[in-house]
This record gives sequence, C-alpha cells and structure tokens, in this order.
Amino acid sequence: MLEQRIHLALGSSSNQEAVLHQLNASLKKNRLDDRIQVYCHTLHDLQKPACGIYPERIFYENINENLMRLLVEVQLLNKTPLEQFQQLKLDQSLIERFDQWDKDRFFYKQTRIVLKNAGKINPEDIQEAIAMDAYQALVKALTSMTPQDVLDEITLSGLRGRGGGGFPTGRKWQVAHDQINDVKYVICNADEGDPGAFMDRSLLEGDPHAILEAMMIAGYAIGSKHGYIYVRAEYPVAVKRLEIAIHQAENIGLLGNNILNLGFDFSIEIRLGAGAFVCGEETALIASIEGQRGTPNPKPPYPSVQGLWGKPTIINNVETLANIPQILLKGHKWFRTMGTPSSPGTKVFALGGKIKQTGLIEVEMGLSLKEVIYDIGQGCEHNKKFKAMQTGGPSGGCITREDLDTALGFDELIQLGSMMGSGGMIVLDEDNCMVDVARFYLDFIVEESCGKCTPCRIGTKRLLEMLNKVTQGEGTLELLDEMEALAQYIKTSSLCGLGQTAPNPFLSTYHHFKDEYMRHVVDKKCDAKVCKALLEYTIQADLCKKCGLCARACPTYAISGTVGRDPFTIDPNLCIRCGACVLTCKFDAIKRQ
Amino acid sequence: MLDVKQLNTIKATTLQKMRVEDGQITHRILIGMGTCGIAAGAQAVYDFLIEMKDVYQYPIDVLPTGCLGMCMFEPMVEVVEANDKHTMYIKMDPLKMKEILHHHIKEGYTLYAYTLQGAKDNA
Repeated sequence: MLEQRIHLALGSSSNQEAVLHQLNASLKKNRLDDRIQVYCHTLHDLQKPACGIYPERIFYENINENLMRLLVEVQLLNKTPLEQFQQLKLDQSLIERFDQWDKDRFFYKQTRIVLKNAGKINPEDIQEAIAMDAYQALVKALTSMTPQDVLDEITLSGLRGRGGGGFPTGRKWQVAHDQINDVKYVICNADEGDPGAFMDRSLLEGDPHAILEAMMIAGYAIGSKHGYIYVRAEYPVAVKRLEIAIHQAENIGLLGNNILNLGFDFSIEIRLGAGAFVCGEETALIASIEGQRGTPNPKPPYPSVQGLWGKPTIINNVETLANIPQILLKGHKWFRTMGTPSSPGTKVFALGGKIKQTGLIEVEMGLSLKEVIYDIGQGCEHNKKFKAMQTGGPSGGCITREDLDTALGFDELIQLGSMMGSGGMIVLDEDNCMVDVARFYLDFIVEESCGKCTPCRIGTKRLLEMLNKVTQGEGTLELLDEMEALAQYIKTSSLCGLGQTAPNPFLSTYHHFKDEYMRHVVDKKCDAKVCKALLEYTIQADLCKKCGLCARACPTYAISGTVGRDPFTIDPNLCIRCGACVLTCKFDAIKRQ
Repeated sequence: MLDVKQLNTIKATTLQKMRVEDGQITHRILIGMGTCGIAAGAQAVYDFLIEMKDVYQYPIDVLPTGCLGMCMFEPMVEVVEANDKHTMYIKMDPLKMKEILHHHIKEGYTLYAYTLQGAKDNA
C-alpha cells in the first residue's frame, strides 16, 4: 500500500534529471518503491529542483543527488526530518503549487480540455453551461468569422477524428462545404459500441451543451440547418440529458430560427440507435437514420459528398465535436501546443481492466503508454505482472510490454498493429490468456456482424470455431496456418471497415503471443490457467490433511478419499474443472496446471 | 428572443451563483451522477440530500453533475464553498452524508477521513 507521496519539481535544464534517477534508485534499494509514489513535474522557470513530501507536507529545495539519497534514507526510511535542509527559502507560491499537485494527483499528467466541465456543472441547467463559456464560440463564429474562416481554423488546428480512423476533421468539413446543395446535414455519432469504452457517454452526460454548440458551429461552417444526434438507446441518462439540453436551448432561443438574433437557423433532433455495433460505421449509421436496415454501403461516394438522403453530410464523433468550441475560442495555435505534430490535442481514454485506478482520463497525445498505465493508472492490480494492453476495441489490437515507451498518437499506434479507436484501454495481466482474449473479441464480432458481406458473416464465424478448437485443446499447427490465411482473406475482401478489421483480435494476439498459441496447440497447456479444457487438478498427497472439505465442495463427486486416513484424489473423468475445491482447501494442497 | 448581451448577463449572474458568492446559499453540493455514479448508488445520496434540504431548510444547492472520471471512488460528492474552496468526498452513502451535513455544512469543518485526500487506500 502506498503511504507517502513525493512531488518532485524539476526545472527544464538537463542535469536535473539525475535527481529523479537517484530518487528512484534509492527507493528501490531501500525497498520503498511500493510504498512511496513519485510524481515528477516540470517547471520551466525553476532554477534548482525542489520536492515536497506528503501527507506530512515537508519541503526541501536546492536538492542534488546526494541530498536525495540522504533524504530517502533518513526522512523516508527512519521518518526523521533532515532539519538542516528543511524548507530553506522555499517561497509561498511554490508551496501552493505543491499543494495543488497533491490535491490533483488523480489528474496528474492529465489535461482536461474536452472534459473540463464534466463533474463541475449541472448538465440539466443551461445557465450553468453558459456560465462556463458554452455558446461563446458560436457567438464568435457568427459575429466575427465567415464560414471559410471557421473551416480554416479547424484545418489549421490539425484536429483529427476521435472516433477511430483519425481523419482530419477540417478536410471533411471542407469537402462538405464545397458541395453546392441547399440542404446539408450535420450528424453527431454517439453510437459507442466498443466493449469497455464509455467516453462519449460521459461527455453527453456531463456537458451536453458543448456538443450542441459544436454542431451549430459545424452547421454554420458547411451551410447546414439541420443536425441529428445518433445515440444508443442503451444510454438512457445521456438521452434524457440531451433532450433536456435541446429543450432548454430551444426555449431561450439558442436553437431554432434566428439564433441570438444573428440570422442563423439550426435545429437538432435525436435519433436512437437500437444497439447494433455496425451502426457506428458512418454509412450504416446514415442508413439507420433513413429508416433502413443498418448495413454499410461501399465508399465512395463519401458522406461528405452524398450522405443522408443523398445530401452532403458530415459525421463527427462526440469527442471530436467537443474540441471544436475550444479551438474556436482559443485559436488553432493554442491547440497545436498540445500533443504531437501529427496528432495535436488531447484524447479521452476509458482506462479499464486489471488496473488499480480505473476511470476516464484525458491526456495529451504524445504521452507514453507507460505513463498512462503506471503513473495515471498506478499499475496492475495486486502487483501482478503487466502482460498487454488492448486498445481500439474489437478492431484494434494488443500492445505488449516492449512497446510501452511508444508515444500516444494515431499513426504511432497503427504502426504497432493496434489503433487509437474510440479510446477504450483494457489492461491485461498475467492471469489473462491471450487466446481467450482473442476468442472473446471475436465472439463479439460474430454476434455484431451485420451479415451483408460473406467474408465477415461466415469468415469470422469459422475463425471463432477454430479459436474455440485451440482453447479446447484440439488445435494443430496446420489449424493455426489455416486461421492465419483465413484472417488475411477476411481482411482483404470485407466490405466495410469493421469487417476489414474483424480478424485483428486474432492477428494481433497471434503476432505478439505466438508462444502462447504454441503452448495451447503443441503442449496443450494454458499458462494463464484460463482455458478450462486444458487444466488439470491434482491433490498433492504430501500436503493433503485428509480433512475432506474439498470432497464436500465438489459438485460432481469427483473427489474421493477417507477423512482422517487416506489422502483425497480427483477423478479427472468426473472433474468439470470448476475450481471449487481450490477455493475450499485451506492448505493449498490442490494444484492447478 | 435571447441576444448576445443577454447571454453574457446570464453568464455573469450564473457564474456568481456557481462560485457561491451571491449570498443566497452557503454550500453548493455536486453529486457525480453519470451512469457510473448512479450505478454505484448516487441516486440514494441525491434523494437523501433533497429530503434533508426540504426538511431542515439548509441553505444549500443540491445538484447532479456528470462523471469526473474516478470510477473506483464513486459515488462522489463535491462541496463547493465561497472563496473557491472545494472538498471532494468519496464513496458516499446516505449515512456518511448525514455526518457531512452535520459536521461540514452546519458546523463548518471538513471530515478529512471521507475526502479524496484522506482516503488511505487511495492508490
């Protein structure tokens, strides 16, 4: 358990890094590294490094490597303050900064742009949203900018679609703007279907007015008067708050005709999706709004040219839209200061799985995955070993330990064979079997395949059957080759993006964890002890105390023996591998392998 | 019909209210009520607070808000006072809320053990 926290403030000159290394090394040497959390902050105007120890609130300044070593050994190990160095002339503003860091340590390394209002305002009250600058960007656009100015601003900001593909938003809008048509549409895609992702839901629930405002700005920029929000019916709270927001905006004249007396008309309708994963794909989404069956259509024509009811349509993800008002208010240069040159800005992630601090985080692009997992997420639960991270939902892939230094960004993740996706991050530890993980995602895809094209409809089904064989212990090396070939066929011949990425869960785990597949196929063993058919339960006679508890817990009477006399044994033919005996045994005599 | 001037008036007055500076209330209580918070039991906390406010006429605002992103600490309740003082209470239930109403709202001191900073098991 973590008991103390050290906040280290470093200036930007290069030799100060040594202090951090010394601190980490000393902590490790004194075995304090699992009790003390180190937070490192950069202050550009700081001359000499300083540090603060919490919860005691003891500060040191002018630290060097030697002092750092002393500090760990005397202050932290023996709990005696180093009096001669303490709180020399540390100025009050620096102390306040330390306090602020300690207060915000959940938000450590986070930058909240999109989520700035979530959890701060009452989303069911438009006045509170207005107080936090909602609709100011719209006023700015309507009063002082032409539609082309808005488009230029978005293009220059380099904002890329946050829904998965990373397509430049400005270019998408420009294409729609250049179409000559008196009817155009703006659609907000809130059909968030990835397992483990809930960013859009939180945004809609926390700050619905940001989305409405962004849609109006988009409408102004491309010349549209009507918008749709396509949201899943599984999000009742989000739908309710959106309805309230739209109703309130209409009532005070922020939606409808002649908005703010500035001669701009815009109306927004909500469309409920019935919960099909494929409807997050833009052409399927359009079909669904039109009242047809939600199946994708080949592109081109792209929706920006010919979309909803044949009219030019822009479709943007909730998070993409939530960035727009901020960019207009503060300018593209401000937006460019965050993130990397190819992926500017921030990204919201839903951090989940086997990690200590689960939750919704917003970080700058360019942060390394290590920082996300170990600094924000605090590492794996129960100090288990980190194995892989699944990003991008079923279309994405796994990132292994070796690649954790990679910076977050659209192109960087694609290079690793994964993708940004909508932003679900599921952390897997040593207790997860990668074959089983692939099977789980493929199961999801088989269920959600819309059935329009054959490779996706039948190919994924066959792939799942083959994966099941591997987990059942019936796999062969030829089967693995067959699976790889089939996966390539699905990838190259499916109709839409979802089908083309459908075999990714298998391909990515197979690529990174080939040895684990081999263990399943050749040795018929599952090292993570997940695949039930490959497990074997045995009672170690020398550890067995002959108490008979396990025999009583066994639902299939597979355990036999005499209490007090003979060690108990398990009949493998009757055993259903439920693990009930392992849980009841007080002496760890039952071995699972 | 609202125009830009009126929009800015709304902004200024509401901002004052949100900062608990307009003198009508002493505390603004925000309950994290996204789907995640409601799933963790925020609705019970909200209902309890509304009832307490009605019965005892506390000068407080009780408001639902969105998710703050700290799933493992839900339900969360934030108490905002004048001079930008924020206190974040975590893992709330009506029973703990009763203590907070008595100690924090009435008597005016923070229950450190229930706060985000005070939680020992806080990572």
